[in-house]
Amino acid sequence: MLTKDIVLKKILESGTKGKTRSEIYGKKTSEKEALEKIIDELKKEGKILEKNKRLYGAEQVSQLPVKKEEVGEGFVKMQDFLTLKELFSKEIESLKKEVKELRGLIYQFKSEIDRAYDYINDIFIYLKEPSHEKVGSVDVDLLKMIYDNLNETRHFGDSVPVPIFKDEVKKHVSISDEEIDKILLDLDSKEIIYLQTLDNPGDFSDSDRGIKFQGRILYFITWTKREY
Amino acid sequence: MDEKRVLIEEFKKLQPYKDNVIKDPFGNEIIDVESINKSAFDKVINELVAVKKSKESSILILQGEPGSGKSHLLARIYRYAEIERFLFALYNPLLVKSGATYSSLLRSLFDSFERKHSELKSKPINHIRGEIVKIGLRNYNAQEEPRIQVLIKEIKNPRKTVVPYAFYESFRALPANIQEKLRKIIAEEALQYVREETEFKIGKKYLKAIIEAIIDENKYLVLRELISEGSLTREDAEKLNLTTGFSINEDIAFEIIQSIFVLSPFPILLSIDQIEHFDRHLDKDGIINFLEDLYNLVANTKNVLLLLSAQTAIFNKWRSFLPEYLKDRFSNTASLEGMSSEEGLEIIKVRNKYFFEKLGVKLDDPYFPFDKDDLLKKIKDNKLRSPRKVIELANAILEGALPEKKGVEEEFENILKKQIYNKDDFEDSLGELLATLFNAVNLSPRGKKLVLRVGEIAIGIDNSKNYYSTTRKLASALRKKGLNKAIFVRDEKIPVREGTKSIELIRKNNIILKYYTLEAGKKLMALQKLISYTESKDIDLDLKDVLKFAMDLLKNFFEDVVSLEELNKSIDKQEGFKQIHKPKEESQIITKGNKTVAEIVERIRSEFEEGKIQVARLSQYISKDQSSLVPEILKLLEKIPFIMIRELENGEIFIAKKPS
Repeated sequence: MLTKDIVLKKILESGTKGKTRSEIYGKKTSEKEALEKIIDELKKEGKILEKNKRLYGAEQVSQLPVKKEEVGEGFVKMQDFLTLKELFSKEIESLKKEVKELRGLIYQFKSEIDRAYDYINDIFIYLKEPSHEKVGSVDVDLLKMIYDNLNETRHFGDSVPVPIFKDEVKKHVSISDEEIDKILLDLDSKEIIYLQTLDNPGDFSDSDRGIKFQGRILYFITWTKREY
Repeated sequence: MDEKRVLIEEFKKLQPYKDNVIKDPFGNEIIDVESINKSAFDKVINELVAVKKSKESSILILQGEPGSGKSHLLARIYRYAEIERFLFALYNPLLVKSGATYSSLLRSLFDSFERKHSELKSKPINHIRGEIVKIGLRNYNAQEEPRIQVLIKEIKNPRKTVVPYAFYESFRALPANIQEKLRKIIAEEALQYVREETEFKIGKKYLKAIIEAIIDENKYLVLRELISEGSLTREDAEKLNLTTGFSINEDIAFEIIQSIFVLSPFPILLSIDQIEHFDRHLDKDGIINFLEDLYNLVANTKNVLLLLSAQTAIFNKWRSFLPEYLKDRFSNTASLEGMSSEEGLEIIKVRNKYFFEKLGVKLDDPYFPFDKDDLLKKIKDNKLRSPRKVIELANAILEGALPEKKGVEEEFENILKKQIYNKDDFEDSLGELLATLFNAVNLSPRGKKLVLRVGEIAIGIDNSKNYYSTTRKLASALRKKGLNKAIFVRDEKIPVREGTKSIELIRKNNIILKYYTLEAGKKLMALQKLISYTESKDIDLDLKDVLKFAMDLLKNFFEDVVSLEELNKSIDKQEGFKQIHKPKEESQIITKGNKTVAEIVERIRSEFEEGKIQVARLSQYISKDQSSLVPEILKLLEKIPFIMIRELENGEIFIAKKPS
């Protein structure tokens, strides 16, 4: 009957040759199952190792002759290499995708930073001037804020119609159309805003509420972004 | 003192402040103050950079008051194409071609890619060729002779950064037989690249043939002909390795456009100017359709920035009725900011310098003969914040008083002087004139050539080699649509050939051949520009006067073949150009043959009612000599509630039972 010690002994004695299972149980095929259990235990205890169906003593594995195993190792290496290559190329592909996405995100992020800078810039300008410039009785910053809000919410594309602007200003300040006209003309002269001429007054039913100037109707306000 | 006076007179003769409109951004002469509209310029360039990075297409609107420098800015942008690494193309969409948007865009692209400003190193098409060659050789590893190997290596891995056209130059330095061999490989590989880059399964055999023709100068001319005419003769088709009868329909045109955008080494700036034309001639639905078309183009292509420019008022008006989804898509805008008074002075300085240099004179005072302070005061007092207004002021001062407003004829002559005739562009110009002035309706909206209905007349305009389809459509308009006259307009230099099926058809159906001279052709082309510039306010004329002038000229053009009454009929009807077919008035129906008509209609009615047939060709029920009865038959069939009528592009009419 095979015991743990006998099995271990047989394996250790085989040295670097190692032993197969059938070499251990020989003709006693009835002990096949018992042997399997012993091998499992020895393996768990770390006393033996299995390679290519041969069993070796744990310490003897490192002494296995290199030459003999070269072909097998080489083959394993090539196979591993191919698997790895496949794995890597998949990995690279997915990384490439991620990089592409990241680039997109970075770009998006950059433009968001740019936009944030615009606001920060505005805040600095706002903070820099403790006494806000006034045109007549109205604060220029208030007008700019009204302009920005209209422009943003109504998608005017930096050309806000004067009549709509006037209505909005009136919600905040008690002021007449004529006074607003005067203020806007003044801001245009200072080149803070640009009042665009409306060529076909018939295009807009409220064109009579644009600013009349030397026979022209100034109808759109564009707040100048550049600094002189 | 006298010397100065003489100098001023010489200066005045050059009319330095008379012309204030940029009519062609591709033109070579442009006097520019680059700080004007700088922020709009930067915005366009930034958008292009974004397109380049993401490869995703986008839309930008450029708006400003008339004279604020939109066209001028476009010309400046064009000059920066190589520095900023993009390709510039102009697209001039037409009302009459609204059913064939992609074919006409394709033509505009190829035209634009052939244009080259003297400051640019190479034509845009050569950059595309270079990129195709580079892409095509990316996986080419075959062993060649050392000298060839070096050139190929230089294309695949250039030692220094080069502009793409250089790859094409290297390719052309290869021996002819190697070029020939590589072209096939390049076309195949480039096609593969297009497939990889687009999510669409495009890239059939024809696309390979087209890519190959782009990089083969011997075939390129044939390709250009294919692009402008839509189809080729059997011989030419063979040259390109295309199947006989291959023609560019809208789907194919779109696939070619997509591929070219993908193969372009740089983003493409596609500019549409003079949008005012659409505002004038389209109703709200038409405008929505137009913008949807443009959006679809951008949504389904890569690498493009679509730049639409028009007066601020136009987009502002459109935004009030656009559905939300479109509003959002057309919300990216650059508004021109107006110029400072100092920049106004700068305009005077650069214009003076430019014209005095022409006289070979260098002056100490850059403002001479103007007074700087006086100019500045006038610019400020009159709030002259657009370049055109400053130029007008200078002209007024120079001429001693406000010069008289130019008349319609004078403006027309000005345009005519610079007009270049092109037989393909002529077709579009005449078509657009007929649509604009006489409410002409395009009878085959997706067709390659224009066959229009003006009142009771069919007019075909075709300067191509294959005009059989146009003659057939004209004949069919006479027979099936019941029009009473058909005219075939064609350049006199390329008359219709004798002994062809077309001439037979022309004679048999009494189609009138209207040949025009080069001069007359140029005139009509200039006329269309005059209307367009007046609509966009680039020319300060009363539009009514211009339209009247144009109508007279057009009537004059047709006077030998059409009476005034016939042309006016269409105006009285007030038809929109999109309305395809209006049934005739009851009284107009010819009484002769009414019995036959009734019999045919009854037969169709009973067969469809009994459910014997669900769909049938109308031609099944009528013999050839009864084709003149088609309008009457249709008129009666339309009244039958369970029957639908559909007319195909080839003129074939189908009857179908309405689903219950």
